[in-house]
Amino acid sequence: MAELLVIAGQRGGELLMSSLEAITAARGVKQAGDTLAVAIIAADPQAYVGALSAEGVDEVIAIKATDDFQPDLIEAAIMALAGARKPALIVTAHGVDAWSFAPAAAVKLDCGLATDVQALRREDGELVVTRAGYAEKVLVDVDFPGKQTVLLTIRTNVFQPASGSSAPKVTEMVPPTADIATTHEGWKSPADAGGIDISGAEFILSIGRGVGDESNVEQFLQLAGSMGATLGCSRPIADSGWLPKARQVGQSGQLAASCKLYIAMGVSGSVQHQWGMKHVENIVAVNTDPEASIFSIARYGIVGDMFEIAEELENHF
Amino acid sequence: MKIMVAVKQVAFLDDEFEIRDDGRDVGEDFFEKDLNEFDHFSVEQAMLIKEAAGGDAEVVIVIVGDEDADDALRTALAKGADRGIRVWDDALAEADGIAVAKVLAKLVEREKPDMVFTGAQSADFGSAVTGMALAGFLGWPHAAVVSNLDYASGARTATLRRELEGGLEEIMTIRCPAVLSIQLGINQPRYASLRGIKQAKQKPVDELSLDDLGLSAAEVAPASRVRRMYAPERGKAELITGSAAEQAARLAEIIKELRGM
Amino acid sequence: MTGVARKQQMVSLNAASAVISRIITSNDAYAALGAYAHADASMQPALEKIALASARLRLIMASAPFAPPSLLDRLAQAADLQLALRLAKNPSTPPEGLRRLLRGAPTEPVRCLIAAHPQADAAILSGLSQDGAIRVRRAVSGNSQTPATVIRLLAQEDDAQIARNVASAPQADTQTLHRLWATADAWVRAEVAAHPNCSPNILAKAETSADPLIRRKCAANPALVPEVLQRLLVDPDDRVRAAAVRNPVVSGERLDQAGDPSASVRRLFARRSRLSPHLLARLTADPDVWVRRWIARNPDVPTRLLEQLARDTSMDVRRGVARNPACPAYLVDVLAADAEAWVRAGVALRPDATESVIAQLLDDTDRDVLSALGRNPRTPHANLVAIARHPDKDVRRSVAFNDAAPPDALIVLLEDDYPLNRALAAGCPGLRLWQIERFLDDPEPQVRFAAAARLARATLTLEPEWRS
Ligand SMILES: Cc1cc2nc3c(=O)[nH]c(=O)nc-3n(C[C@H](O)[C@H](O)[C@H](O)COP(=O)(O)OP(=O)(O)OC[C@H]3O[C@@H](n4cnc5c(N)ncnc54)[C@H](O)[C@@H]3O)c2cc1C
Ligand SMILES: Cc1cc2nc3c(=O)[nH]c(=O)nc-3n(C[C@H](O)[C@H](O)[C@H](O)COP(=O)(O)OP(=O)(O)OC[C@H]3O[C@@H](n4cnc5c(N)ncnc54)[C@H](O)[C@@H]3O)c2cc1C
Repeated sequence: MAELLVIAGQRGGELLMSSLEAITAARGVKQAGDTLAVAIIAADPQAYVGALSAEGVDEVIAIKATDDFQPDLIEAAIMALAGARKPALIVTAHGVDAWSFAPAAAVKLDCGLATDVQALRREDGELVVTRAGYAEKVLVDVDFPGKQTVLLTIRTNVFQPASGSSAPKVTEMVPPTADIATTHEGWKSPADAGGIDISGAEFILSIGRGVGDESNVEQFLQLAGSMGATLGCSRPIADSGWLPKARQVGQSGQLAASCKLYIAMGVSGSVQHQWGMKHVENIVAVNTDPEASIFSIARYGIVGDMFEIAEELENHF
Repeated sequence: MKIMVAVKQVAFLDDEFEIRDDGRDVGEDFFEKDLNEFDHFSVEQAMLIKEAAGGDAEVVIVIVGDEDADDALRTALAKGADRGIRVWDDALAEADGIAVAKVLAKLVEREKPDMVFTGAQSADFGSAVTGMALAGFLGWPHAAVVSNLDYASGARTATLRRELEGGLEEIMTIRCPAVLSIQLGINQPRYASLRGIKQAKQKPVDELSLDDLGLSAAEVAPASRVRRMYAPERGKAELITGSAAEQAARLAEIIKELRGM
Repeated sequence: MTGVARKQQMVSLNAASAVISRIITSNDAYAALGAYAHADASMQPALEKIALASARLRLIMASAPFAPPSLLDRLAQAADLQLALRLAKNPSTPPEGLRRLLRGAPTEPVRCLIAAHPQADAAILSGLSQDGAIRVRRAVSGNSQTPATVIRLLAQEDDAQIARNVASAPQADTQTLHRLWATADAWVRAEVAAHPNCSPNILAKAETSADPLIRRKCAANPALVPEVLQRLLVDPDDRVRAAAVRNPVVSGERLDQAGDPSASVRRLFARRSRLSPHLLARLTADPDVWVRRWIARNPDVPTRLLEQLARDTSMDVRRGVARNPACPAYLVDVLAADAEAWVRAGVALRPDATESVIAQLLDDTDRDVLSALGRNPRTPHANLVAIARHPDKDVRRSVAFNDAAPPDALIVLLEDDYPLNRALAAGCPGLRLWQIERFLDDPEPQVRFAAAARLARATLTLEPEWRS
């Protein structure tokens, strides 16, 4: 019989939906007799009980404090909960807030820690989790020999958000005293996208040196236009003056920060170019060289001539 | 006034590589090593603060790593930092961010800086652990993923922005000294000048062992252990085959589906 | 040391072997690699030893496209799996090296890479066409070097991918295409219809096929007779007409459907050369901005129409005029004062920009404009020096792309903080050799490589300066 603890989060009074993914992850290693508790700190924690009462949740711990993000407070709460309950596992989402508090909490607890975890399971009764290494080129299975408690942060958008419902016990907890060193002062929203906006574009068609010549660039601008994409490029294209510097994707150019679909044509996929786009979920590579490194990060690959593909694509938009 | 910047030498894998015989890491011939991208930004941030103070601040670069890691340390020094400290011991061979943070905490006790920067994460393992674990050991104020910083050398508080999901930022004030993990894009990192690179070779670097810091091997035990390492199944693209007309037809379908057209 | 003293020092170092010896003494793998291809055969073993000193270096060199072919061939002589993968993938590996790899009974992934290698020759490819692994044979069928005899054999395989590759293989012969037309699916038949070697018989069927894809592919066939193409130019399907307009078989003067209802077809008209004056005029006034963008770049457009396009409300149309080689000087003057920087940058790239236009643009602060001036051989030397000192590293780098850049400007770049700028400058022909020599000690490997390659090349061709 062990206790599993999930640390849910809210931002400005809104539940962070990744909290529900953390519940799913914890539920996946819950064994018969284990209990699963979810803790939330907020100005009005009771307001989250409904949303957190997903299937498999046995208890919701409501800590009435503030909606402001205060890592010192969360760490103190984790310490207090861990001291009282000795959980075998503490799980939270690998969101930016957890980046601030999870490692500090782990060293204060002297517990096991793994971050950005993509999978967890038991092997011969031992907890083993999987995370990526070497810029996602390998996976690493790690375990936690001799640790009574293990804290995990869970990669977001990997686990399904917990659904279903339960009737958990609701426990009110007095917030622990903590020396709070930070003060919330406000929010700053992302800047408006005007003109060429690679970082704000959701759909980017990018061309590289495979385009060959300046006179060929226009047809890709046109194709991007008819598909509703923003045209991006690799550095040699901007260096040649064929497209403005603002369209360059990569380390010395722009980060395709909001991009969801990135089609790279005639781009070899140098590390510097990848820097600006390899995080994009849907990358399509079009390249005559089947061994071009762009294929190793692409979701879909077309080994072929970018002009032929572009010409054919025009027939569909 | 002193700023300490922790930097890491990261490893980039070749496209083709082999896992070591013990199955727990990649063979050492398949790496290219370099200073962590994020650390260019944290070093730059320290230099900006030093320059704003008319040079009246010392920037100390610290690294945990073997001789190989000297390159990364000198790269940071070449940008104008004052001196370096490198800590190594074979007992650190399986160190994770927690173990590294334990060592860094000892260095902070020795050096008593007014501010500590780390990178928000490393380019290779990306645990985003080291900086905030260091703050945990020290009991210092801390904030991760700092994308903007308003801090004058020696000030009691700083105002910063944390970069959150979806481009939103939170503005917060923090008591100093603090440990901040620095996000890409917070500034425009400079390139070391040829002169800077030459000078970096002469700059003082302390080489310390665990002993020198009064740490035992048991005290730098990691918080996790690697069981095995392997290449992921996916990774390679799903190939769209067929004639160009066929391939484009399929690509158009994918675009329309993903774009909800 | 003064420049003169340094120069004298170099002059005393004028023998080709002296440079190479210096590189050998430096024991630097990248400099050794740079010098290797240009060094005397007697020096190569020593350079090779440096460039291939460790297992890590051997892996790096095997995958470097800039490594000299002879060195790659050397590596192929004792290649383990990891080296073989890298060499088979490296486009610079010469045919001898590939053959060597094959003699070592390589794994299937390596054989696939060799089968797709741009330097695989007919003998290698016909050998691999007998390979037991279908993936290897597929790769052979997709290699544009594969000879007709091999293509014919492969065409007999019952494999959808091979059928597609064969149907578009440049060497596929008429008989093979005929067989495919008779047996394969519509996608393959479409490729056959586009193949220049396909028989007139097939083309006749393709022209009247009910499947617009097949008519479209047929319309793209470069072997089509003009009469057939004329018929396809009025096909009811937009996409078929579009393919026909692209086909150069009918010369521009004989095209006259500028009133095509489809903008995408008219855009293609605007890209054709030798169009009739009447057609050019119509396209210039086209409501579709893309038609005007294309026509603005068309070098056949007369001045009168260009003038009209230079006043277009679309910035991209005006940029097109600025990039049109036929744009007359007086319009260039007008566009040099355009409100949009991207248009002015187009002017700044022009090799025919006049002194006064360049002088005017030099006051610009836009980085695209300044980068364009940095590349322009007509930009005055003093200004190139100033551009080489610009705060923006990308602007500074443009000078390295300028063939007319004077040594003064390149020297500034050689001191650049940005390593890539130094590397590019070190490879510039405008620099004197004594100015490059000290870059053999640069902290960046790519700079040392570029400097060593340039020095070694110079010793090989005995640039006059070395003989003094
Ligand atoms: C410090 C530094 C910073 C840099 N920053 C950046 C940056 O921000 N962004 C960036 O992009 N680069 C950057 N670079 C440059 C980078 O290293 C590469 O040189 C560059 O990305 C290569 O661009 P590319 O892929 O277009 O060209 P190449 O590497 O030449 O690749 C062209 C590709 O096109 C393919 N191809 C050719 N013809 C066709 C065809 N007809 N159809 C389909 N495919 C075809 C080829 O197979 C090849 O893979 C930087 C370099 C350095 C040193
Ligand atoms: C299989 C495997 C092999 C490994 N091999 C090596 C190895 O060969 N050499 C090696 O040094 N480590 C090695 N490590 C340790 C690993 O890189 C640590 O996890 C790392 O030191 C800290 O975690 P991180 O990279 O995720 O950094 P993060 O927690 O993401 O933090 C990055 C930031 O923390 C600071 N930081 C991180 N590491 C250091 C450091 N060492 N010194 C100073 N500051 C630092 C820097 O400011 C950096 O920007 C290995 C780990 C594994 C799992």
